[in-house]
Amino acid sequence: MILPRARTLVLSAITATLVAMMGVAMQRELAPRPTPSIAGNTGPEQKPLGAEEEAYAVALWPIHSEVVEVSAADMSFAGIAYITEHHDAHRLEAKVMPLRDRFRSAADKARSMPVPASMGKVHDQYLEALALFETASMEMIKVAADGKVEHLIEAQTMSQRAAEELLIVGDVLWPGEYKPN
Amino acid sequence: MRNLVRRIALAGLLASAGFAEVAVATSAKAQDQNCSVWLVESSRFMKVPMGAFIPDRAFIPGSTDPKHNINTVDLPVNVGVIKCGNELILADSGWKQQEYHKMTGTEHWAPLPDQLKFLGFDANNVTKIVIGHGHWDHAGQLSDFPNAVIYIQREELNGIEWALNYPNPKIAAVNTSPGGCMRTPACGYPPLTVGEIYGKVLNGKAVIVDGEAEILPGVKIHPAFRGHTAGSQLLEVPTSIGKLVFGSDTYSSWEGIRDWMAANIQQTDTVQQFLAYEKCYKITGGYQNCISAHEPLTYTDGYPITKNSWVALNGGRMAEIALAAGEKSHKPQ
Repeated sequence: MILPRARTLVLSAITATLVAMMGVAMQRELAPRPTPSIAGNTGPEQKPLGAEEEAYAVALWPIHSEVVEVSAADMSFAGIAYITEHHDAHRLEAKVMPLRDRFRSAADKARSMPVPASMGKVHDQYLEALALFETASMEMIKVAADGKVEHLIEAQTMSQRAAEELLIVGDVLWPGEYKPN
Repeated sequence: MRNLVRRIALAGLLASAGFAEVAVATSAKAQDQNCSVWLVESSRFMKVPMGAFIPDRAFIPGSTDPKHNINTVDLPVNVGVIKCGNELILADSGWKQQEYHKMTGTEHWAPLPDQLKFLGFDANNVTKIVIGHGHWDHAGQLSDFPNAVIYIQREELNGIEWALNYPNPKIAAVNTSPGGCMRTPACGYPPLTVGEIYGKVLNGKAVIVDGEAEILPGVKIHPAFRGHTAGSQLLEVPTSIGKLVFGSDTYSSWEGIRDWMAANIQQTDTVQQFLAYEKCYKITGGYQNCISAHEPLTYTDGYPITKNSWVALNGGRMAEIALAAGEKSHKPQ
């Protein structure tokens, strides 16, 4: 049996410990979180591309800038127009179908390019992004069959993943791709 | 006749009294509607050539003319944080830096939700984001504010879509280098950013604005079409220090507004940019309360409204611009 005074002491000690723990937890919670390491001028210098790698980057550029990026952005606009303006699934299909063909054709062209061994991983990543865009476009087209908006949500998620892949590849092949706007 | 004069005088007095009452009510209402405002530096673009930012201030080596003796400038990417009652509004949303999206020459980037937390706000409580325009460095991080509704002009969306579908691929390009686009019509709208806007539309969290809109009492959107991009817009905010106008990149440079110089010309009609400058003069009564997105003097005495500043996460800066009645300072002591 614990004496009343001892019990008071034990309870006080427990209360003090709990208060201290809450204090530490609050301090941790309120403290600014460490930010991820910031790239840019402070990061390590990127190794310049060799001659073969540079040739590969130059050859892929027209496909990337004139076909893939434009089509990817346009696919989002097809969805925006469907949701905010016409709600016509067949019009959506008519808009997206040619974009699917463009992704397919871009992938065919990219596959036929000579790829330096050192660029194999980057090349595969780029083809994966194109495949994702193509799959996303086919997912969007399904709306014409059943009218379910879930296809658009699924497609948008895939497109965003593909868009990130484009940036990863772009960081290797075309650093400084984006400038202040 | 005397009676008539007396009656007219009486009517005048009553009308004046009525007017005074209305004026008092309006003034009280305006006071109630005052918002608190902060500015957050989302990141900083380092060493941008002055001539690329303000063409009429291009650097001339050896010049002692203050208009031509600055070689490069560091441009902050400013995001407005506006609290009106229970509503938390962002003017622009910066851009999202990732390991794969470094943006050469950028420093001091930190996630906007973390910056808001540092300022004492929760990203989940952001209710509205007014996108001054849809460029990648102003409409990023949207998915990090799941409860926020974005406001974007239909003209902006139409302008981008038109450009993307233009038959000449050099004109339709969204990218900036090498040789992809440089101030061309779709330049600066990469798929990831457009996809973020589309995500908001899909989730029922987007308002497509047609011209003017009052999104809260006294908080007004004004179109500034072609002032920077096809569908640029301004945001008027009532505060205890008068009305402010957030100009996004239509007001890229505050010195540009002060000195009537075109700045950051992208998809810009300079006539429309100057008219947008004039709009700020008209709304605020001058240039002091025009809030610029990339003014190099921001957070210094050189841009007085932003001088109450401090250094926050990762070296990025913040400023407290105006406090509504009852709002305590968020500046760290």
